[in-house]
Amino acid sequence: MSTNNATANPVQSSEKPGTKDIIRVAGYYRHEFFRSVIQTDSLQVDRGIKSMFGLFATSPSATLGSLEVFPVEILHEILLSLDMGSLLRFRHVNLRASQIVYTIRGYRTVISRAFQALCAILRTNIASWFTFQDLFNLLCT
Amino acid sequence: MATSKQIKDPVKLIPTIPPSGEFDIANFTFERKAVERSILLKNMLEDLGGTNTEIPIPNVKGDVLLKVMDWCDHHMNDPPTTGDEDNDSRRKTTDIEEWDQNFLQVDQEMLFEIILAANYLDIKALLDIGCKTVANMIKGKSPEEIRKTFNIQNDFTPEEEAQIRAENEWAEE
Repeated sequence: MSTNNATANPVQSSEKPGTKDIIRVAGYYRHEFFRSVIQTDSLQVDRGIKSMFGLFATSPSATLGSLEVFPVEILHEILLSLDMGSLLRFRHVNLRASQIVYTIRGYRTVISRAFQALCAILRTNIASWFTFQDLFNLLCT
Repeated sequence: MATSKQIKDPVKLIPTIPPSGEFDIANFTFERKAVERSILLKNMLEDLGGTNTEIPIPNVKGDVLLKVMDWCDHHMNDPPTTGDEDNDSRRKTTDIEEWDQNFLQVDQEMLFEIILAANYLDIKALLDIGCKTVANMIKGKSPEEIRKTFNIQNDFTPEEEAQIRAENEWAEE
């Protein structure tokens, strides 16, 4: 996008020497940023999908404690308003919690179809700003 | 509370599970408009016609019903919510208005009973703020803190614990 700007305003950039260089440097930097932070090698992603965000192999032996009074629709309602960071932490409460999170459609879709987007969000530390539903809705547009 | 006020169009709700302690049925008479915040009761009243204004309420404890009706009383003049509400805008706003926040300052058991009653009675707005309140109890907490809040046992195996640690390390890389 920055390179587009540079070509779109050639007059402006020739008037101010250095502008183009700044853009070029910034653009270059962003490219590297993209490569190192957003893009993950596919092997790691494959392994990630399998081991990290899916279901655990063992079946739950504990309940959700006091939350157990709620039917699954209400639990979904509660969990859907959580930001991504909080929802991912809720998965680590126990096996039943991770199972419930896995039954959320938006969550499952993001894991299987937009894993790289999730990687980017997690690694840029903005997981507390969005919900899985936000990303899911964005993907559906 | 309801008795101290002049009720124009009274509807009597009879809880089949009476409240703990002293029980005065006079307290269970409410303004029709407030009762109609519950879609379930609104439909019931319509089906019964204008004459019958006594409705038995199973599944909701008397004291929970009183609390829920307190909310309905306060919100009886709110504009009605449409059936197919915009899920999107509803979920994005995590703030709850002050009166509702104070209203939901109750112990966890009562909060959960209010949510279940709102679900059963089909009071969408109350269900919504109830769920948000519980979500706020989870937000920003560590798994251990969440376990403590809701009295949840950790049943992960040591291998799974290791996997979780790896996931956390990977995400924080």
